[in-house]
Amino acid sequence: MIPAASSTADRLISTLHQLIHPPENWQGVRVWVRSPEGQRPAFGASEVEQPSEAACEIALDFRDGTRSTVVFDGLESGSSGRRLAESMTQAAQCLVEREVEIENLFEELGFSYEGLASIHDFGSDPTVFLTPSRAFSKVLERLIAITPGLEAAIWTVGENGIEIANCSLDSVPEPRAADIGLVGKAIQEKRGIIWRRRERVEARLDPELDSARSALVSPVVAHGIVHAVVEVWNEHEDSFDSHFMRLVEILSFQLSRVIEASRLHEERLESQRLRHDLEIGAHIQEHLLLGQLPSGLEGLDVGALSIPSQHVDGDFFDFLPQSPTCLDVVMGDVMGKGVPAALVGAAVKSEFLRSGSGSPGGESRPNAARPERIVLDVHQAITNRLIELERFVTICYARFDTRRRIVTYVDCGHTSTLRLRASTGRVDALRDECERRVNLPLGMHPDSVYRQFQSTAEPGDIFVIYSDGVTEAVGPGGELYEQRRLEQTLLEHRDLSASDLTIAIRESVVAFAGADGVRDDLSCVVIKIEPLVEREEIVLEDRLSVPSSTSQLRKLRSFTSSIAEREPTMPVEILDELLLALTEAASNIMRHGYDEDQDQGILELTVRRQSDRFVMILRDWGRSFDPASVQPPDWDDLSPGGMGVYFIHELMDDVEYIRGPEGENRLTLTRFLSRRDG
Amino acid sequence: MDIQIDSGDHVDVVRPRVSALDADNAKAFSQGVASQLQGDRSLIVDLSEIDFIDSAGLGVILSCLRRKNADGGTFALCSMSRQVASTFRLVRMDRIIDVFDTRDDAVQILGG
Repeated sequence: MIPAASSTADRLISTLHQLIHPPENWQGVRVWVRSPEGQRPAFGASEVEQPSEAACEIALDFRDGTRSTVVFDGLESGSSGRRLAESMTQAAQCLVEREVEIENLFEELGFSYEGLASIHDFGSDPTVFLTPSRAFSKVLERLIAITPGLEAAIWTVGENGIEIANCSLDSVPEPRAADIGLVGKAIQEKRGIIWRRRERVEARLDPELDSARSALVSPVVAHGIVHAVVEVWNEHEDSFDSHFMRLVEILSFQLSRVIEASRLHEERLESQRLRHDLEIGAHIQEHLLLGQLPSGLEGLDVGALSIPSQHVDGDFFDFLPQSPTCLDVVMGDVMGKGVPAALVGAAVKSEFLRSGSGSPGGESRPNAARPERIVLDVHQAITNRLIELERFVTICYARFDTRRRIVTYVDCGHTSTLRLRASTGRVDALRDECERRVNLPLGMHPDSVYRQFQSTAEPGDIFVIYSDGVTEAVGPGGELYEQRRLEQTLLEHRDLSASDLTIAIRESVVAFAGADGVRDDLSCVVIKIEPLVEREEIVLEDRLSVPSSTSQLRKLRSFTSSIAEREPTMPVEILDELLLALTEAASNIMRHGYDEDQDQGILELTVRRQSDRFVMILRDWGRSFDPASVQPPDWDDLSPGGMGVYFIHELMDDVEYIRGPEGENRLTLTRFLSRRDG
Repeated sequence: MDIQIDSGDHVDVVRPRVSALDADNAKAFSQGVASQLQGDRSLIVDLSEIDFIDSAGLGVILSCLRRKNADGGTFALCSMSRQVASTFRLVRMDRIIDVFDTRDDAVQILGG
């Protein structure tokens, strides 16, 4: 049956119905068509309902001079919903206009019954076939029934050439390049061709046409792209004329509708997957990737923020308090996007929580694992799995110890932490100080080693740990936010609290880039070191500076003894140990840190007695000398070389060396008055 | 460095007259006893005035032991203070060097 002529709005509505397929995937979506005749519901809406304010409207100007507007309500918000609506309406307009064309053709043709039947198999509803492959086979069946002796083939066009989708021959032609013969010409010129052997000899004829007398090819075009080619031939007579060509063109066009509907269906599924991904991702981020701000800290003001991007990243951070005065912060960035990256991030973070927070409870933990050990533990637990998943994770692991005024830092390829130093008012990047101790990201190599370095964390210093989403936010002119802008923001807002400072950073980034310019997750942790209110009273603290000369060793010892021997007196055995460790440390500095016999070097000793410990801090400005870098002594060949360092580590409970800014070396030796176990 | 040297028939006793043997004076001590280190006579280092020794001091004592042994002589220490004794124990040097409580004990055994 040839459908009765109907209005453009009618056609638009019925075409939209075909494209919105299958309907159960479009639940919650409502569509109206507004035309000069008024507004009518097209899908999911009733006569009385009106679109909401969030509805998206797309106007269409038809060739006959009329304008219709399609109104979508209930699509997912954002650009993906809008894009889908636009491509749907464009496809619908194209289909409606071609439908009018077809009807005009029918009138012109007065075609044979077979031809009409084959066209009307499709009816006006290409989705009867659901999939392109079923449509192909139906078309093929119909084509060869039109006239006895016809053979037909339908080729699909891919990136690497063409292959048969359906064919009437028993021996199916091989896949081949897309530029051969008549089929090739139809693809190239995007038009149908009739060929008769008696009229034209082709140089490179399609192999299946070897014994054909005549042939017809017609491309299936959707959105300007040739998706398939219909090929019909006759080995006995010249059976193709312009009428037949019109028929095949119409079939080709209908195939293109099937392909278009199928493409829209895929797009819709993809869009749903994307939305689903976003929901899961946001959930993972909120519950699994971001840590809660720690409480009950002394000498630390901590702020954190995270703005998730439109797509989910694997950014994560968390806080692992080691004691009230010692906080570990870990931040990581999983390469890649989407839910898989977020899941990897969640897994890595939980490994850090497991490895980094040994015993629970708020007790002071002087024996907490070194940060480089924690990173190594996590590496050993997960790197093989990360390598299998082809993911890697950049990590920054930082321990802020306000009692020792030290930051210990393990840098695994993450953006470098910034430090604003109160003493100089300047911002520096911690990485610049670390002397090549940058490690590989997790997941790069099973045999990676991880090394930490240490620097000072003095009261008033501010640290900013951040993800590259901050520095790589894109401004309107395409330029990046960059580290220098972050430094500037830090300097301008240094007096704010840590959490207000994170807000200032966020506002600065968003003002620079706009909401659209923030492409990645934006994560940022701010740590402000505050003066520590000493719970443990310092019984005594004194300081002595001497020239760098071994003749001063005696003076350093008697100075230390004078403090140790005051009330309450400490056991002489402990004093012996203190003096030996002090002598070894000082003479090492004199011999290795400063050139020997060079008296201009200064060595400063601070001795501090607390109720539970005795602390000696040696500062000098000579060459860097880390006692930990010295090998333990060889017991078979005892020599004084490594023995001194052995003494220091054996006798002291804690030895901390820092190469500070401006050439300062700081070695802190701590002896607890009553030894703890473990 | 002030070092008191008493030479008997078969044994030399050297006594550094300082309170500490450390990185500052270890080399001076080594030079001060250089002639006593040669030959196969026994050598006793009397540590009675030393109340502090460090790794450099241990090193020079170790070097004395090796040189004396190389020449076929016997080497011993005596009169260690608390700090010196515990420092020797820390690196187990008390196991490879003969240590006597008093100078008389040492002379009696080594000289006899």
